[in-house]
Amino acid sequence: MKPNTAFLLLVVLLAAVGFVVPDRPARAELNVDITQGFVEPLPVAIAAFLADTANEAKIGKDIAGVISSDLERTGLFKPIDRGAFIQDAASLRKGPRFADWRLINAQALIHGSAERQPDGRLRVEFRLWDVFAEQQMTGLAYFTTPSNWRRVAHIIADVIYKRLTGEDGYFDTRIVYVAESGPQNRRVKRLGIMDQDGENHRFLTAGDELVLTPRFSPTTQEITYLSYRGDVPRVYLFNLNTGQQEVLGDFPGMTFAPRFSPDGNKVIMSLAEDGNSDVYTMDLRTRRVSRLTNHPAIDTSASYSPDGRQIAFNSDRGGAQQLYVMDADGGDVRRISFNQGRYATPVWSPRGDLIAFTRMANGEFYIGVMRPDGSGERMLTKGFLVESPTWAPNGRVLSFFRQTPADSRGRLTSKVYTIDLTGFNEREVITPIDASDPAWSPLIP
Amino acid sequence: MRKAVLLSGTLHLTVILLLIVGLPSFVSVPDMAPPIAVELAELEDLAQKPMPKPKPKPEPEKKPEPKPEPEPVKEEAKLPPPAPAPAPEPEPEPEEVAVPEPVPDPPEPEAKPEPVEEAKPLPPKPPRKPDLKAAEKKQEEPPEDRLTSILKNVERLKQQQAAKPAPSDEEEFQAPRPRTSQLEINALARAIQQQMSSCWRVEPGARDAEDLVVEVRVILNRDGSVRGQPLIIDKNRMASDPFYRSAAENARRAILSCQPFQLPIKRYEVWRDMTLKFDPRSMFGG
Repeated sequence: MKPNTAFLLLVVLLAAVGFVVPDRPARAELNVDITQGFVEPLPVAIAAFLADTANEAKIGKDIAGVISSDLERTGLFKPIDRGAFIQDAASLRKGPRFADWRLINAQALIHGSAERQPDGRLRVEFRLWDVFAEQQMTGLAYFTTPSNWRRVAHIIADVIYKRLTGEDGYFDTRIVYVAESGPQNRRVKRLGIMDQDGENHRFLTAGDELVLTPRFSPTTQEITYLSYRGDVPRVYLFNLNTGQQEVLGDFPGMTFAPRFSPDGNKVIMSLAEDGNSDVYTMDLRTRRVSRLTNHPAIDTSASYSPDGRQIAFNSDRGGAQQLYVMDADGGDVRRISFNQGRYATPVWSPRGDLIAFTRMANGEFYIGVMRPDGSGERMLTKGFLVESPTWAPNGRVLSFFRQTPADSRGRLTSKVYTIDLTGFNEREVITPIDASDPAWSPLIP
Repeated sequence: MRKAVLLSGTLHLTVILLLIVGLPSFVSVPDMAPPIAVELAELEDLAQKPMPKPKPKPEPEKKPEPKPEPEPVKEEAKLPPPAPAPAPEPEPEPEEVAVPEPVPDPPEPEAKPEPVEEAKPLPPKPPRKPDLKAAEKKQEEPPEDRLTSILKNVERLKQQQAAKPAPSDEEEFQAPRPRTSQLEINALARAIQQQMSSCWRVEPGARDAEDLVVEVRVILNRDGSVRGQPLIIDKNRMASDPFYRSAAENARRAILSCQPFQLPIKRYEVWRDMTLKFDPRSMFGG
């Protein structure tokens, strides 16, 4: 080969080597598997929202208080006592001194402001900081009427919750339930509604007729409930915004009150005829009733999956009351529960990954969850009588009611509780009188 | 002239190739210690172990059972008996409530407050000063025992221990470099696992929580502090999956709050640059 070509070849070779060599790592990397951690609430610092005037300062303190309670009640967060804060509120305006917050072991910091605008509206701003990474995670501002501060606090808490856990929030929601009083043989029942934290409570009915099983529509601000006027179960549709009620229908053979479909257009219920109970749907627009199961066994208590394509229900077609899943048109019925005891009231989680239910076994009641294929069955809580699970709209928290046995004078207590799907953090919801049959609303639009 | 260039080029090439391949060694590299000496080597290894953390670390009861290898330095971990469930809140007095009007007041149309544009992030922070170790974490006994099972099942009334930590030889076998034996790598990995176990917060209720495996790359300074920010490897999933992002941020927070890591300075070159894989699967063992 000519010297020129050889020379060129050499140059090219050198250049090629120069590009190839750096890919090799200079030293080996250490790889470690971390498989053990702990489960504890995340310590967070929530500073009072700043304001320039006394009125707004009170609102700012209240907003921080509501956010703090919401987060604490999830069992996933531990708000740090404000007395332990090192950095003062005024200097926070200019930015967090992260070392101060690390010292008190705050992993996240929340602060903000509440200011009255010239037009009378309230402007609420907040920021969420990752203390150890020293980064802002999110920051938003809201405009509203000053009297609406509580809803703003819940909305902010939802944003924070979602940013820190990945879960959709559930604080801006309500719970409708049956408020009860009186001895066991003469219970007076009324419909009650409240924010999920028990605030803003009011009664919806007077108590002169028996009301049962309220349910929330997923799409409108309406609830259905069952009323036994003249011993005939009648389903009412109640609009929360207008206060108007209408009768959905008389259902003389109704054995289980209706639940809404996820798109809000249908209700699903069970009706009995000649001692046999089957699952039916009714289209709310046309009022047409269609039959889904046709079996001599008692089929009842149906609940839609969040995508509307499947239905969970209970049936004793297998000999004992157990849980089944079928397609939304009634096809492909398959059994999913197999343990001893009786299973009832299946409710499909809005997250789609679990079905909650009531189970009676060993002389006790349980609230449990299982996956839609029947695996991973776990009992979350038990008692003399625990019943009627309902999911928060994010599918993470459940509500149910717990009733004590009646004493010799027929007195009993019944209270609504919430519990996390992991089975931990069971909490009572404080209601003015006894409570049962809770139903959780979707996020308020 | 050409000849000179050719010769120079060839010599350059040879040098570069030698740098890649390495000089042929005429001295035998010391082998790994023969089997009998393994125990001695291990004791020596333990003697080199870093001092326990200056501040009293959260009590050992929280730690899982130690691995089978003899570790005279560590004390046997004991799990406390499951704490009793908290007493339910005292029920409020059922009072007589005056019957309110049956028709509810038409509620004022509370318009949902509109969110405004993102508040602008504050100006960049001043350069971080070297961290003082965070104040002693207040690890009070949790009211509910979350060690027996992170997903509760009241029916089985389990008394099982928490899932045992994975054996330490899960870390990759590195090509044996002279003077860093596999034993020492194992010991380093164990030390890191031990320190991380009290810093890593897991969220078991997340959707498909067992599958949230997070890999993080960390560069450490000689004093065990983190250089820069830990790097989450799977950026795409961070952006698309909010549960994964939350788990990844938990992992990142765990690393940042655990520094400075107590590791032998002699092996700094080994632990300077590491990838930690946070895998909660075994915690769901129950």
